[in-house]
Amino acid sequence: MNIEIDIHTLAIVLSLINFLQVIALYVQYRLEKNRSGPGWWILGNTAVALGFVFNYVRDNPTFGLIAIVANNVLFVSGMLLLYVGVLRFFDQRERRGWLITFCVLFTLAIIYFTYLNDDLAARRVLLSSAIAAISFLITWSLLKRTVRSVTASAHFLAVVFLATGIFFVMRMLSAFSGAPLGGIFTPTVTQTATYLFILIASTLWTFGLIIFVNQRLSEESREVSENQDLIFNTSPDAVLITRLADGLFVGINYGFTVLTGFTRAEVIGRSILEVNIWKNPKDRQQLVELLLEKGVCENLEAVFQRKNGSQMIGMVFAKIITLQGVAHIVSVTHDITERKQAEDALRESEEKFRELANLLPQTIFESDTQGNLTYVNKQAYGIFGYTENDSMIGVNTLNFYTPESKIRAIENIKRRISGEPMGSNEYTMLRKDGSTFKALVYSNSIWKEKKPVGLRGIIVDITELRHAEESLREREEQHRTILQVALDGFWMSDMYGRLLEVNDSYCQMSGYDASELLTMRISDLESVETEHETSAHLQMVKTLGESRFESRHRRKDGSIFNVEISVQYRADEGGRCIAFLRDITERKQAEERTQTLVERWSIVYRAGEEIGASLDTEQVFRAVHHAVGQVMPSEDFLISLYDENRNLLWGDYIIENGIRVSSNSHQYKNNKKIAPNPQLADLGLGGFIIHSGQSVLLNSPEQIKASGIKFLPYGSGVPTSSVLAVPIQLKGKMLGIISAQSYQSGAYTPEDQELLEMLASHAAIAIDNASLFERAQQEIVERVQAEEEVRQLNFTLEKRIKERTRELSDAQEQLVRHEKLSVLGQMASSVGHELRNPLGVITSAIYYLKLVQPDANEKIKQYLGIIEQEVQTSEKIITDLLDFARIKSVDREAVAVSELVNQTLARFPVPNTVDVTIEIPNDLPQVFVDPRQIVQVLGNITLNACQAMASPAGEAASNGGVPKHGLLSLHANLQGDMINIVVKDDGVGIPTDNIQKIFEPLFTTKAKGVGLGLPVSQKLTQANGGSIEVQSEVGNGSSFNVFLPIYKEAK
Amino acid sequence: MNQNLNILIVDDDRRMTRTLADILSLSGHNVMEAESGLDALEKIRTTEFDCVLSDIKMPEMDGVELHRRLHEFQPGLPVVLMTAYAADELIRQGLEEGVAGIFDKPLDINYLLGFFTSLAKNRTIVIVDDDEVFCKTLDDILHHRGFKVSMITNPQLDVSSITTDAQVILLDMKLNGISGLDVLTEIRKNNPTLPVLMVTGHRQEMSSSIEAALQINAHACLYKPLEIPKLLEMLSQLQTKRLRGFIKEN
Repeated sequence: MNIEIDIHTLAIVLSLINFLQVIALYVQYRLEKNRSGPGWWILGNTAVALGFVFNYVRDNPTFGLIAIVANNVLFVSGMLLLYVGVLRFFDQRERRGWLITFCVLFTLAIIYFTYLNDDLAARRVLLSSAIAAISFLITWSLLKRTVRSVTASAHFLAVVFLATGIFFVMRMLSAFSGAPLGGIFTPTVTQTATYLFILIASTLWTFGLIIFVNQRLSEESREVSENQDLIFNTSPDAVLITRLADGLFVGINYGFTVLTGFTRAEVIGRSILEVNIWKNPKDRQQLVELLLEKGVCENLEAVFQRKNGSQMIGMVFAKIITLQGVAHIVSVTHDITERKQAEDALRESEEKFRELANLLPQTIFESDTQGNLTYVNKQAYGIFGYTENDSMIGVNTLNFYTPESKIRAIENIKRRISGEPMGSNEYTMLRKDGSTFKALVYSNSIWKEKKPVGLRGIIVDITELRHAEESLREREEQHRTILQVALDGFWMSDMYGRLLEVNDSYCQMSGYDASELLTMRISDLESVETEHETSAHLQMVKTLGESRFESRHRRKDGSIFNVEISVQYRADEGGRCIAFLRDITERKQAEERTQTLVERWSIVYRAGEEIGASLDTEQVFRAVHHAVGQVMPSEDFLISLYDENRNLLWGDYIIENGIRVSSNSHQYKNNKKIAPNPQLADLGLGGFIIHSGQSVLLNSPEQIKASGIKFLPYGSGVPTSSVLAVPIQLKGKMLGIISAQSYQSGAYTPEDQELLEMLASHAAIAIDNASLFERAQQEIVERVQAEEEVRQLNFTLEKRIKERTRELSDAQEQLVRHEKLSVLGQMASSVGHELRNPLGVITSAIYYLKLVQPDANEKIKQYLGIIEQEVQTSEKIITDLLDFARIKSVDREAVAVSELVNQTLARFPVPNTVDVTIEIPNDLPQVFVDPRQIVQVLGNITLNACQAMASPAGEAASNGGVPKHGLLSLHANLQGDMINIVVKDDGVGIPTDNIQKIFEPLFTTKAKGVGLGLPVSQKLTQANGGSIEVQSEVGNGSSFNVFLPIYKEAK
Repeated sequence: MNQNLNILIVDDDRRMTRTLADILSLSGHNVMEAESGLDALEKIRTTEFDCVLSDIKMPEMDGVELHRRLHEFQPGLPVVLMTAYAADELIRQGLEEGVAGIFDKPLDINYLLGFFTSLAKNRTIVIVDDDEVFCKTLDDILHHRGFKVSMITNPQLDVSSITTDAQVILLDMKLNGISGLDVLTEIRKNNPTLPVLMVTGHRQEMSSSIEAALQINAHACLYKPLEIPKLLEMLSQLQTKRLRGFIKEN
């Protein structure tokens, strides 16, 4: 084989190729700067390339030897650099010392075989073996150090370097074969093969290295992408990629399926419109707008809707990315629902706290350890005189203390911050404007991570409190003083009725000392209520809050006094009753007196009537005693009659301790003879009264004693305490005494005396009458038994009795006249009513008969007419009686006088024999009366007038029955507020004697009639607010003036 | 018009009821007698009366009490009382509660007959309304409550048919083509005081007409749906006032 290859050309090509490889490696290096290895390879290849360059100058005689050394050294160092590059590529470190030693030894050996012993063969063996050794080293490194990802290219490179090593082993061996070595450019087979092999090998390893790097790179990038996928899918956030244009789901991660509940299959390939995860579609719109504007969206909060409908709040980060040329949105949504809820809860609780803090009346603050305020509530501004504008935050709390307080405050703050537990501290505090106030400060240290970081506390303004306490104390003092000097009694009790406080007035009222009262209960003083009732009453006071009532309390001496009590309940200290008590004994008595005054007088008055109507002394005594018993106390009672002739006082009616005692059997016979000129001490009560004619009123044993009157002790033995005794006297003549006595002090009043005197005067008349009567009877009996001669005297006596009796009955008649009348009236009215019913039936019956018998004979008609007439007359009498007995209700209205007159003349027609003239002015005001009643009044008067004119007593008869012509005039005029209607006749007139009597009931001069017409008229007129007056003259007729009130329109 | 009335006389005195019944029968009235309040109530339940004439003082139930009970279910039935007593309090009470009048015993028979003659005249409540159902219902109610009623559902401006025998007219404001106000104006030409109650269901839109009607002396204006108790009370009062007028006149 003889291949003619120019070895120079080959060397140049080889050198060039090596440089080109350096360039290729450089490009690779630039792409992957941060990876070590390729840099070393560049240096290696560069060294090899330079090595070839030195080949050219080997033949130069000047530089030949240096070139040979450089050539060999560059080759070997180039290979070493490749080795270093491989190690570095595997992140290994070369053993630099060994490599430098090797390199130096090799260089020295080459220098030796060049300059000292120029031996080509030795140099060839040395170089070849060195390259072979390095190549095997590289091969070994590649096989040993390789990592799985680059196994393939590593193996490829290992084969290349192994081949290189083997080749150079063979080249070294060829030096021993004895074949001519030739020069470097000697075109031997070995040399040519060497050049070609190096060409091929260097090209191959350069490619191998580049592949090696790139395989490693691609492997790494695959790993990175796998890791990213892993991160993408394991992220708890929802990652979503959608197409910008139509919202098509392109990709989601596992987090998305967890957060939304949608599976991948449910969303991928569908539009956001179909799978709506946005609660408010507007949010997505806003997101898209933001993205279009800025390309990115950060921290957008939005509400999302899960597949199951529940909601989730997400924080969205989104960006527009371009995938395969189409704009997409990639968004990462972080579920902040819980955070949001927590935030809301926190905000709410903060708001709550702030609001509460501001509602509190106290000031609340927080400060740091330096005392600078970090928080204050609203009240703080008010209390320290700050406005909302100049913030208090940051102001040091020490500014709020007065200099005096400050020292104490600093000390206390220190202690508090150190965690020492303390109560409140009172300070004088300073406002912004310099004014001060008293305050209580409560505070606690704030701890964070076991370290005190500040103070938190409350400030209470106690200025008012101190003032209030002060004034309360003052007021209490005042009240106590007032209560002690008050006229009204005062006490305070607990709810069990125990007295806790009393004043002097009540002590005086009750007769107890304060010290005694304070050991007592209400029930010890109360005399009306039982203990149980008092306790119920206290409960009632508690319920109602207050009470006002009257009661009676018992004094220490046992006597009773009336009190008016006004109680108020106070809830403090388990309930207190504050009572004011007023002694109203006197007022009570006065009240009772007033109340009973009328009653008592009427009792006496009624008794007086009974007494006056009696002729029986015993009956008189009983009546007097009965009346006295009703109006005043009288355990002992006595009526003694005085026999003037015998100067003896007889105890005729004696009551002892409420029991009637027979006067005869009485051991203390009260028959007392009164001495002509008695000594007061000898008189006794009766004697004193008979003698003096005065009443005696003594209200206590002391008074009785002081009076000097001698009292006979009574049978009961109980000493008399009060005495009231009055004389029974008639026209200055003593008839006896009445005496009431009581065992109680103060039993009688001057008023009682008057009452008893009144009874005595009634009794006097009755006793006088009775005694006259008795005596007269007595006299009669005596005279009848006596001689004939005294019969005349007897007769006189009888006459006296008769006279006396008549006088008596006259008086009695006078007394009961009015009563009789009213009884009469009542009887008349009830009889009248009962009569009307049968009259009604008679009327109807007659009417019926007339109706069914229109053709009855004249006689029957006449009789029916008579019956009818008489029924009407009866009816009239009854009506008058009834009208007199009681006025019907008055139904007043405005009515014209002319109307009244016309109605009267229509209802009470005037006989033909009377001419009527009517004069009523048109402008008269209307009257305000019951027209029916007034028509009746006017009718009665006209009727009377006509009768007075038509049939004067007896005259009609003497005239031979021809009625006299009369003139009746009716006229009216206004007199002040009244209308005077005058009915004037020219009849017989009324005698002066009778004028007073015509309005008395049952007075009449007419043969017919009951005499009620005018009294009724007067009553009716008066009931209508008017009156009737009469003027009359016998022979000249009468004039009746009826006055009626005019109508006044209601205002 | 029939001048004869169905009258119930109540008195515990049989002679009284007897004679009165005879007299009134002779005058052409149909009379029934009852001897007590309870008896009267029983008879009123089964027979229709135009007037009740009752004694006041009767055992068990007095005349005023009888009227009180009657008024409850027949406010349209006039009750007059007669009495022999001046029992003022009872009479006052009766008048207050709406008794038509009190006659004193012995009765003035002519006066009584005159009263009945007046009562027989113009005693109908005339309902003028084109709403037949409304008319019929109201007619039933009033008739049931003792009033004499007639109804006109198709009124003409010739009002004589309306006013004849009327004591009160219930006049709808809006009739078939005719205004109630015009009818009222027509009525007023001959009957200046006849009580006319205007009725309308349109309080708002008719307010001017209502005003005008009240101007020409319409008694009152009622609004549909009618408050029946109020209407009954009003009619009963109008009737009592009218009857008391007769008693005064006499």
